[in-house]
Amino acid sequence: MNTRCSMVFLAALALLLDNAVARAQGTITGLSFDLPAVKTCALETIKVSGTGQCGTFTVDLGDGTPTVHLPGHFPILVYHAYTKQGTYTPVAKGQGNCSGTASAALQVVGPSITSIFPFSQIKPDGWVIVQGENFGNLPGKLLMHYKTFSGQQTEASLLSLQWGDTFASGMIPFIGGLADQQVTFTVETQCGSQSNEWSANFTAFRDVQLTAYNRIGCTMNPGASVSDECQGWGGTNWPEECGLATWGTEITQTTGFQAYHASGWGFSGNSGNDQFSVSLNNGWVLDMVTPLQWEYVGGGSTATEWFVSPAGTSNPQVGVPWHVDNCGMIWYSGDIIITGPIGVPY
Amino acid sequence: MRAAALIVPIFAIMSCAFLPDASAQQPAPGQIIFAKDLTREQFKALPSSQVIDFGNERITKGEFLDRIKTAIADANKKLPELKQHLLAAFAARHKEVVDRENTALADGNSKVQAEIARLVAADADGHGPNWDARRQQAADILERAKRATPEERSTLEKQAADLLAPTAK
Repeated sequence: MNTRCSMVFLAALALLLDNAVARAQGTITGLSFDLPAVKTCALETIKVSGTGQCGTFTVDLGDGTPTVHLPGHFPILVYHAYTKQGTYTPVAKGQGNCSGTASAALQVVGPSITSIFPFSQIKPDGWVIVQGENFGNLPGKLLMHYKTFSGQQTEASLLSLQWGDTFASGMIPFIGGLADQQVTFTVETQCGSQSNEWSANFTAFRDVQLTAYNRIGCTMNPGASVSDECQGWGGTNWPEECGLATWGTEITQTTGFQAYHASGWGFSGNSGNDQFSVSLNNGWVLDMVTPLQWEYVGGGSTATEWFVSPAGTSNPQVGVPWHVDNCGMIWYSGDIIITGPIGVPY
Repeated sequence: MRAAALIVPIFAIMSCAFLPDASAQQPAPGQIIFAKDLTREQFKALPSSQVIDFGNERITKGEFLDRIKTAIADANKKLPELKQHLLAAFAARHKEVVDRENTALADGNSKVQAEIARLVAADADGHGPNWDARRQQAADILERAKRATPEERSTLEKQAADLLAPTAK
């Protein structure tokens, strides 16, 4: 900066200072609030009091937001919405020939969930209402926090929100692959303030499936002979004294249980009992067993009664007593229908 | 069942004297063999033309075995149908369960939605006329305030607060 420029700058500065002194001679004497406590997101009016007239003063709002620079006549009103709950101490401080500093503590309260509407449908596509206070007038987010089947903690925003200061409602999105579990709900206000967590029991949408063939175990009483099979095919095991070596075309089962029994020569035929079982996981249980389908050769062949575990069992068993005539055969099949959370393996 | 189990052995003992020995010679032509008295080996050893008394009828061994062959062929044709019956039963159950779930959900949701409607109406009533429009306008202003200078933001937030304040009806 050369000498001439410096002189111009100093002259201008002197003029500015002279004007400021002439225009602003004030002192900040106090800082108060319109409300002693305020909700997050709600506007608080901060009143800065003083004497005289200040050219410039600053207000540090106490929450990390940039300092406000304001000129004006006392009292000066500053408006601010706090986004997080807590105690804040805004400070007004004079600049230049505006002297004085004032501050006061302000309590900011956040959203709080106090209950969930009892008929809320905490399941996929279900509507939920959380109730509480200080949610604010503008919609924010209603979140459900849950664990995926793989164990990952995650969250989903409820859809089609309806919102008020004391309630938030929405629909849980249809999420597959979630087991029944305890979830938590939180409210996030429009300005980002988080509420407490509120627990609730989530029930997955129920699916029904046929139990896979290879998941079903079986035992036979009496044990296997050349003409007996469970979860297998007895096509080549027809008793030779009955003059037949093969039986039909093999059907590959992908689901359900089956058994095959053929009796060689014996006037009373043969009888037995087959037991089928499956072990289910992840909330899957027995729903029902389909009516037994069976075919036979010989007038006295039967497989019409069985024992079935009650619905809701996670280790269901099916027992099938059978009888076969001499040189008779019986083949039967059934499906074990199970029910459990959709998208979750059993 | 117990009676039948008793009768058969007694009858077998009584007729034992008339049984052909499996290791002995074949029965004489025209001789009637009782099925209930035959052992596995004796049955195998019989000629196809041998008449056997099955209790309710008398047919030759050959006819008996042919009848089994026919029965097996008939049964074999039915096997695919059996699985179809099972799949049909499953499809019906699947629909039943899904319908039940959806019905229960719809019933439950209707209760919740009725309560939501009540809450929304009460909320709007407490805020005065044009609440939805005012609320939307306030939300738009607050969006602008996020990008404003501190001084402008203060002014915009005040405008939004004025819109959100309850008004006389």
